[in-house]
Amino acid sequence: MGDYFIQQVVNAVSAGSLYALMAVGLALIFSILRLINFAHGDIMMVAAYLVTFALFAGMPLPAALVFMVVGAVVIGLLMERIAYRPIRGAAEVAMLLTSFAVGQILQNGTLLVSRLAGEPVQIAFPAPDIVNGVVAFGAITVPKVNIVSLVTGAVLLTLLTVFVTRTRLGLSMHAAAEDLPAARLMGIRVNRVVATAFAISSGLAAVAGFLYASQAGQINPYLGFTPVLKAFIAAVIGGFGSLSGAVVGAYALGILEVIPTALSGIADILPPGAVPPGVHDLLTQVFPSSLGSYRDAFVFVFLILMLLFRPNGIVGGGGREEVP
Amino acid sequence: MLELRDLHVFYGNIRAVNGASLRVETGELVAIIGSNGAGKSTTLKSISGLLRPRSGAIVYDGRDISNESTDRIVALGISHCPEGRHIFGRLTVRENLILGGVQRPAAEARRDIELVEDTFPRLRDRMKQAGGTLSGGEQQMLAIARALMSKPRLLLLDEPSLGLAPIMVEHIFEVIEGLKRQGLTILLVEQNVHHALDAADRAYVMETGRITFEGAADSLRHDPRIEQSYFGL
Repeated sequence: MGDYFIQQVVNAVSAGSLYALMAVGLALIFSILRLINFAHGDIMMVAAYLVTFALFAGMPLPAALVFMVVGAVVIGLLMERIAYRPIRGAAEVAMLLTSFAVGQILQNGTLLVSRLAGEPVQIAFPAPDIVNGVVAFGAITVPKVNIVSLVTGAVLLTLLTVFVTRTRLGLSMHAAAEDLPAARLMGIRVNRVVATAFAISSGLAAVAGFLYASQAGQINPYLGFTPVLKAFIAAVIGGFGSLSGAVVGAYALGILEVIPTALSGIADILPPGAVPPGVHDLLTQVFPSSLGSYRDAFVFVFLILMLLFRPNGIVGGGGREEVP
Repeated sequence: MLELRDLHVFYGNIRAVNGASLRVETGELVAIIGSNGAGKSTTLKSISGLLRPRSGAIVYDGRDISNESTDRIVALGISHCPEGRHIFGRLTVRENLILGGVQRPAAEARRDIELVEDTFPRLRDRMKQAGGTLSGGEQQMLAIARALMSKPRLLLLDEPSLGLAPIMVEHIFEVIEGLKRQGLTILLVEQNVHHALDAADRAYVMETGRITFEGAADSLRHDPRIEQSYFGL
């Protein structure tokens, strides 16, 4: 019983870490530019391809990871420079549509390169040993990738917090998010701040891409869609535009997703005789084993309730956002 | 030090400044007075590069800066303390000051924060407090202190007394006069005509985007037309 519980918590926290790495990137860019960058998931996808091709080419893992992160950062910076900077300050809908276009370009570009390299649409991800297999702690076994996600998430989010709160560039980022004209009056170079935000969010997305691909076991050019949607939901649950909100929302989402699966197995893991047979049958009926497949529905219902009753998110203040 | 020549500034199609010309000499405190919507703030925003003038020149130290970016203009020694203070409310007082000196070497800027504490003792005990929790008067002091952190040679001050209690207004003007005595050149936009003319060497009156009067602050104070329009006599 205790083991089962711990296992579910580890699953929740490791999924939460992955969402957090994605969601802070979305929140960072939204807070400064009011841009919901849906191409963020495609940066993650491109990063998964970069590390795959690097490993195929025989690069050692550390070099392949560096290549992946640097590649993703460069693509993120190009995306900002070419697609987003010219429309900075435009209507939010225009920026949103542009991000979909950028996403399409990245997906089709990846498909093209993949085809030219003679690879199929779906490639088996060459997961290295560090994220392949399981670790056993007594009675519980945990996939290695979950532990790596958990640790990586904690380390990178701590570093990000230190950067944002302790360095002048980080403070500048905060200032630009809070009051852009005032930030400019300080002499802050806004282009540099925005570029830094894209570099950081792309780097984090790359790491998330590696972890996601390791979990999924295979990659394709469309793999970014679900994670970016999840990250968006996480950011909304937490309080959109705030970094702490994105992290809180991401872990909350990780926990939410585990709940239906955890409940569906609850009747079976009770030791025999712990509850009367009638209660056992009731549990199986209320929480059938198929409950896990309603995971996304469960999350979306929660999202709708959040939007209705606490639209500013867990971290944001209560009440509705003021319409200017 | 600064000269505006026939400046025209638009918000979209709305004309906000319509051919304004003015001059600020080194060491002077020059005031621009006038009613709401006369184009005073727009003029300051054009000088600091937040707005691009449609035509005209902004000459600072002999060069036209009307197409420079705001960060370049700050680097050239112009600091703009905006109307409404625009404190970063979720950052601490110290962090606000750090950002004011963002272009300068970090160690040097850190030392200056101590000097600022001497000029504004009320901020000293509040260094770790979020800017948004300060009173209006304290926020105004922080805004001025923050604007000074870039070590400007020309300070643009927009409505520093707006919305403050009378005693705080007195205090803010003491600070401004103190800065002038230290040799700082100041261009002040103010609706509080009494105080502005008391502090200033010279003043310009702005109406509907144009400069309509100019002269020594003393003479403007006793000009019957000014008295009629702005002192309500």
